[in-house]
Amino acid sequence: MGAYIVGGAVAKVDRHFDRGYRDLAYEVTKECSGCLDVDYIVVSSALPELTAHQVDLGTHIAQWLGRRVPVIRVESGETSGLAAVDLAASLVASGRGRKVLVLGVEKVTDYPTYTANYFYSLMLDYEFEVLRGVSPPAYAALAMKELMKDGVRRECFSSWAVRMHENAASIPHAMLRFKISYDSFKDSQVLAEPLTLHDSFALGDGAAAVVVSNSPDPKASSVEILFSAAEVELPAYSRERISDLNASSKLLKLSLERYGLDLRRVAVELHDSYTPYPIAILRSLGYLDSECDLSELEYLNVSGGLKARGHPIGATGIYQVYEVFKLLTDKLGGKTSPSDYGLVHSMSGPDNVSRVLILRR
Amino acid sequence: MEAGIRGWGAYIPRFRISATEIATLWGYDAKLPKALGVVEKAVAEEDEDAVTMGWYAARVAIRRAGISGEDVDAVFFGTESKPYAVKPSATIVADALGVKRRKLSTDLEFACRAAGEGIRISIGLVKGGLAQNALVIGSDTAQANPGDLLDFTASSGAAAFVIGSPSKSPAVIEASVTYVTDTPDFWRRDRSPYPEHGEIFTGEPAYFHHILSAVKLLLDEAGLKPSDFDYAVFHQPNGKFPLQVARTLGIPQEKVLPGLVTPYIGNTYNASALLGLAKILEEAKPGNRILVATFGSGAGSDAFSVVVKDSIYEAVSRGPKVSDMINSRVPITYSTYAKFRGLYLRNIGG
Repeated sequence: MGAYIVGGAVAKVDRHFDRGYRDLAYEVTKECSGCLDVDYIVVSSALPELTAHQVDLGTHIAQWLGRRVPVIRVESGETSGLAAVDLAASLVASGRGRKVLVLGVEKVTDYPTYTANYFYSLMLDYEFEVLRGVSPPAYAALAMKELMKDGVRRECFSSWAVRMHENAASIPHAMLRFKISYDSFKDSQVLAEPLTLHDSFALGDGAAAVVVSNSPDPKASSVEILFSAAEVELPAYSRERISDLNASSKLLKLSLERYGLDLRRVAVELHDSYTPYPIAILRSLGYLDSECDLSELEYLNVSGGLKARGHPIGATGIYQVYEVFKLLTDKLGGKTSPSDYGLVHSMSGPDNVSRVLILRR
Repeated sequence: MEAGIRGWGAYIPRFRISATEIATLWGYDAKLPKALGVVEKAVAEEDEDAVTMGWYAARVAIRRAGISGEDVDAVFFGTESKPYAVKPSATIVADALGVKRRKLSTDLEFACRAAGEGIRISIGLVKGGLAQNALVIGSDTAQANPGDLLDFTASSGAAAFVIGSPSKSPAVIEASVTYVTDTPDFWRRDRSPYPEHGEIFTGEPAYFHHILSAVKLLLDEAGLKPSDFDYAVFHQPNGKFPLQVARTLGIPQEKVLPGLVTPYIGNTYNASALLGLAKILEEAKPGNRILVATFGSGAGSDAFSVVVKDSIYEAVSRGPKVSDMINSRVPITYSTYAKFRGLYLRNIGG
């Protein structure tokens, strides 16, 4: 028995000062036809215990939505969204559910930046890393330095951010819908030398939903969940090089080879929390030389990625799945995928765990 | 016609600390002062507080109004840094100025806009016949957690206005409105020495929403449009926000820059927009129309349309000018600033 995405909806990623996680969850399910006609709910959220003081978020959201079906909440750091879709696919494949609502929701902007950044840094190992002052941007800066030592120019990382902002400009649900120039990096605030604010994701609130079904919807467009896999990598402090994102590279390489895919024709959403990471991954897959020409990768992060669409941590994976679903069945940013296949990649921290999903129309 | 500005006065301490020095000390990016639009900020000396500064500004305002303390029927003191937690500042200033005992007198607190509300209350008193002249003072020695972003802007200064009959005033307030909501963008809890703020939350849902809402209400009620104004002055938490508001309203930068004082003296909180208004009154010509919008966190905004009359030049000549106070400056280091503002913990006496 297979698993299919048969619908979904997303809220704009933004600083939703006037809405809590309940409002965002309600809004997104209201926009999604078939989202409440389900017999199971999987809620994906990374930080609700910290940001909303809420345990058992899944149950409270199901109550708010007025659904008496079984509900479970999934948390796997930044990969929570893909982990939730993976679980939903297992539920329908095993017969435990017929249709599963996978709802990602995160509310992170009720706190000052230093608090939100601290919550986010807890993706790392608390005892070994966080307590010792190691932070996600510090790792990203070290990865950037390694890549620069390999001959990757600063402009290469900037080109990623410029491209993501270009893409996001035509995505209605993106957080940063404006273009930036290479010049803007000169004035960008330094987070951890040489990493700047422009090299970092945009932290936002958001909610996204997809419906995973055990059969295609005869009345609407559907895509099959063809492949879902995850791999845990060594902690960054135990690796020879932080920029070796082996779990991500291995899963993506396996996916491309198994299905004979070429990223130049396939819609792919890559996890780009910090610009060095997607650059490292694309280099390891052989899609980027030292010139960092991204022009041939037309369907790469059409959404604008975490960089510009924004990163509502535990909901981000659901956004990515919805976006590739739209590229395969309809349009996103004026584009439709020429290939029947689409890839979604997510990772938590610097490749602590990585997940890849392949969708086929 | 609502009421008139009979007189105004200002006080800006002469000591200045540069934003670059603050950035260097706390390890901020050297580009930050430019991003905030702040060059330096005014620092009150050890023996100055909101009352002493407010008294000076009020004394000048009364002189400009051509009246004496005996002619003042109400004194409102807008501040969020009153020297006494319990005991009015308004009464200290009123007695020091010789204001008669039969008067209204109270302190007002609404973050940076209490004095703005004081002006609106005074308009009501004058129009209703309960007061011929009401003195409104906005004065603050604003606090900032050392090293916080507010440390770049929180400064000291005072502005005072005598509100009275429009026929006796060198500038008249032809329309005014207030827009207030419960928006917790900035606060200081009891017994906490420094305020907290909601970072970006202080911008769009607080500062911009309230000022734009108040100004739009004013324009609607007065039948005016942005192009009808020769000058515009908005509350100035930094050097950038007022220009952003002006852009949103379609008001050219040239009409805002004359009243933009924060880049040179910092954010004087209750005196912020009012010092800008005082400076514009000292530069404007008869017939000019000025748009004024205060802002106070919490949050609210008062918008005023002020029209300058022929007697403005005479009023200007009766007191020291804001621009002279801005230019009278003594640079100090962060250590002196810390000493002046009581940032060192010391054992004094036994």
